[in-house]
Amino acid sequence: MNPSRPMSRRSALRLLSGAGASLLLAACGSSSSSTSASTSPPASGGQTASGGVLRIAEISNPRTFNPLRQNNFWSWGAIYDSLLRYNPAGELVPHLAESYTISEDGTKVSIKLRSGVKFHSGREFSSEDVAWVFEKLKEPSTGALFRTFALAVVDIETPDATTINLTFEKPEAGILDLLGNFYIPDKEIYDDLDRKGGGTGPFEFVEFIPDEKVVLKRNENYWGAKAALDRIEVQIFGDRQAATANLESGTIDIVPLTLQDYVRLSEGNAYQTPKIIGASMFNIWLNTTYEPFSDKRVRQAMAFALDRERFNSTILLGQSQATCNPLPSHHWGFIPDLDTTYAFNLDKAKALLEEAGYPNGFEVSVNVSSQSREGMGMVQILQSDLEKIGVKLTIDAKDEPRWAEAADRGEFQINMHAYGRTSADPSLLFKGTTAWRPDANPTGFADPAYLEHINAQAEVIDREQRKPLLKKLIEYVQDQSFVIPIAGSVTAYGVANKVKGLELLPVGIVAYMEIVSLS
Amino acid sequence: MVAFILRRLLQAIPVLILSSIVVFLIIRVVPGDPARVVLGLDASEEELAAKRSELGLDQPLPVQYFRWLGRVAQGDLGNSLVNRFPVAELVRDKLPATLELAIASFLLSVLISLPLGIFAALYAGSWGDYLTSVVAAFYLGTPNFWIGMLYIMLFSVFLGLLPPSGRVAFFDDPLLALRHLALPALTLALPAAMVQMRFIRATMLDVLGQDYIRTARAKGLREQTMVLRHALRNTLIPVVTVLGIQFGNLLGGAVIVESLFAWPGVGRMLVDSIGNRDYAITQAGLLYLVGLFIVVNLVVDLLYGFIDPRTRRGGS
Repeated sequence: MNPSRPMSRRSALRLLSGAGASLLLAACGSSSSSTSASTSPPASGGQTASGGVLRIAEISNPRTFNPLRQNNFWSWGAIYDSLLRYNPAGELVPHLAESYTISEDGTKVSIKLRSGVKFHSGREFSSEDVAWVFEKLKEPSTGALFRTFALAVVDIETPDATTINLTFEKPEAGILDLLGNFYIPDKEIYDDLDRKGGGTGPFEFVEFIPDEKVVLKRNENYWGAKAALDRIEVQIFGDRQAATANLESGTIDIVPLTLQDYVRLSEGNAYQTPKIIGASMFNIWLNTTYEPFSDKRVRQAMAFALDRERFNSTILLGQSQATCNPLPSHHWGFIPDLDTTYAFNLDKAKALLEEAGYPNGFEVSVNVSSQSREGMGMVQILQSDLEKIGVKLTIDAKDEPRWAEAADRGEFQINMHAYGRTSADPSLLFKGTTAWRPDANPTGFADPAYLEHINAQAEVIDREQRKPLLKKLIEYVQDQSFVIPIAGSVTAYGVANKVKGLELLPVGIVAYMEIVSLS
Repeated sequence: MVAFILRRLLQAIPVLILSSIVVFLIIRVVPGDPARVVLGLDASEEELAAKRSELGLDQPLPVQYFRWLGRVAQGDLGNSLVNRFPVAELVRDKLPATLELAIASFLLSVLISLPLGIFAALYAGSWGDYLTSVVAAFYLGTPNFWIGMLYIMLFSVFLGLLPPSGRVAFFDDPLLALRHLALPALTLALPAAMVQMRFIRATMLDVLGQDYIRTARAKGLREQTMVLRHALRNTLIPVVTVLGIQFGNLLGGAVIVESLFAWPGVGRMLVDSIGNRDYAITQAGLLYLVGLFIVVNLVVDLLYGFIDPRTRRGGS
């Protein structure tokens, strides 16, 4: 590569996907005893900055810059590096980790870290920082999504500055997801991470002014290929349409779009309009402690009464995919055979209600966030369909915090919801998200068989061996129908044509900021 | 005068304390858990309990209140529960933006409403009067955010004349600051101006029908002198009250416009904080608004004395 020219998007993606392929080959070829992957680092100085300021619109303030927290913020990938990271194909490739090895029994992971990596403060990055992150993940007050997995680590060894060995109590397939989302902040500023960021990533945090902006600048001492952009400025809007008007007036380069604006802007060639389906999944929860829903047949009747296609065609403007699967269609664990298990059928729903002893239906209410346009739309469709089978649905709309509190406390009969982590390892989805967790589930659903199904697939590292077990798990949750998937969410962006190299991750956030440039 | 001001300021202290209790209790009565906002819906009960403890929300309400009041008395408004920013710092940063927008839109509204209101009263029943009524009805019947969006589409997207969002500090670049201020100020000013115009018109019509105006006319006083020196001055007494209320509304009620134009003011911060159940910011923001209303009322009272010497004598 000519060092004087910016790395093209294609080259950069080739680099990332090449690394992905190496991992895939390693994983597929693991008839030997262990799974391992490695890649060589991007050539230092292989990319010369082309400069410029990228202006991104956000609709709300980042709630934190702490990458260990659950709440997401796209800038994590810019400010922080993770041990592994997803390439555009959705495969995990080494990043801060130069290579890693998983033992044959799946209980030990040895990670070799890159040397010469420095935090933005100038401090040297080492295995001690990784060990420290594991400890923080375990603390309840951190509120880490991956705490479930971190707690499964029973021993951490740091034999030298670039090696870290993890020991698990039992095999845990979700470990790769943990490493792929394992962003490492600078522990010396940990207490300030709610309002500023600091890691080893390609961009350094400059300032955050609430309701105004977040500014990042290029990390000139980055261990890999330096970012093309000089700065990233995130302007914080309170209104999506106003943000879109800013894209159209040329004052903003990247904007998260409403579906209406997505449809409008994607018609011409004036803008790039990337979108991701299924970063989160619309679904309803049925409270199994509420009498009609304690009967599985009534829950299944509700699953048949959900007109997913109508929801997609009217509320989501036909931009998503109706599904009965808990995982989106781009996920490796997606089971096509199970996608239409509960295709809309009011006759079947009525028959199930009669069988369960509710021939004349019943009255029920749905807890929904008034701030969710899609949620409000879906419950209105459900209300009109349920009326046809004698079920009177009352819509109980609340503002977001009140809705969330009622949902988490199980103070609902039906709850309209959208769960995230759909692109993560199924173990994380089923063990770590409120909707699906087997213990203290807000729907009141509890069955030892459910946990057994989750654990059975979670302890198998090899995906091909794991898929039949995952299918059994999904068949089980479909049969129980305490959580009923409806359709994937649509995450769409309007991007000025001058922005080059932009990629979206399956989780719906902008990624690989170091290869983004302005023409 | 100084004694009057001091007396009014002292009277404000119990109002502020009472307001602080009401605000403190009301936002805690509303369901919604700040710990859940911080940690997200997928947090476990153990994680939520740890966060509540860290934020001091596991203490009894009286303990929380007196701790907060003690800190406020020392000038410490606490930290945001969500991003840990010092609240005093946030209010200090947002206040200039809010004041700038409120003052600009207030002045603009007065500049528009005063001549239009006088005109409509003097020429009541004319086509000009009807036209101002139609324009007023349009602005009063149309939501602010829609008008603002229209301005953005027209002046920013199609004509490219004015920036659609953001704020530049006046002393950094006065011209650019005014360009950024233009659309939000106009969006806020016009509906306010229409209210004021209708009020000025009605009050002025009332004044113009008074005996002393008829006497002035009979004495052969020039129309211009009669309007400016007699009618307008008497019209202004009730108008000042309305202007005071309008200014108060502009200070605290510019939330939608602030969101639309990404204007970093107190109103937007306050609404975000209510949505996030960020008690520290909500409490401080509402107290700030109460304080400002007290000051605005004081200024209005002082203006009465300036416009109508009778009230000054009565006051003394």
